[in-house]
Amino acid sequence: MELYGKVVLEAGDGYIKVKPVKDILDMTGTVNPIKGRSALKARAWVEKHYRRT
Amino acid sequence: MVYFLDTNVFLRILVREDEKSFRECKDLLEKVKKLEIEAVTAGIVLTEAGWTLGSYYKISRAAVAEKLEGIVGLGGLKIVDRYDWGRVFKFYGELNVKLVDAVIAAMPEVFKKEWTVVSYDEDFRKLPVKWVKPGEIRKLGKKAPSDAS
Repeated sequence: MELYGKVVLEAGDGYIKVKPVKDILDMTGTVNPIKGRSALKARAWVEKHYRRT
Repeated sequence: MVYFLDTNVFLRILVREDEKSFRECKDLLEKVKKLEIEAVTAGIVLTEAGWTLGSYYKISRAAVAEKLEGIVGLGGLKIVDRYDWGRVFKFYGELNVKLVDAVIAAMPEVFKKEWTVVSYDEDFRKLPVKWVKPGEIRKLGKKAPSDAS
């Protein structure tokens, strides 16, 4: 657990389990960028191409 | 001051494509986590981040769910969903903006300029909101005591 991090409390039989929550700062850079395509354009691309399937 | 974080702030952290914007967004989210600045986002932002990660970056559903859980799990970040749909349709119908941007701009606190939108999206120029880019917040530093309310 870390200072300012969120936790999940799990109630058991006579005990409470405290588990740290993984946050986005633990996941930095975990998605591969697409070569030649700007991340800034990603949202506009999705708006144009979004389809419910 | 309360900051409303747009989708691209979270995407820039997850997709480390550009070092400058990655650093700016990481600094910003670290400040949110340490409660140095007050920040909110909305379900519509999580939805858009999910669409983008799944359809544009082609990551699996399980991975999308994990990343979105990571956003919600960030200490200090509140999720607020209050929309003025009448205003959304007006903005979307009259201005050349993305639907999600119109939804964000129509949130009562954003429209009343009580919250400042944080985004790299230049479309916010066209909307009647207070808007800054992530790097501009960095210069503001720690929350002033008068901002504590």
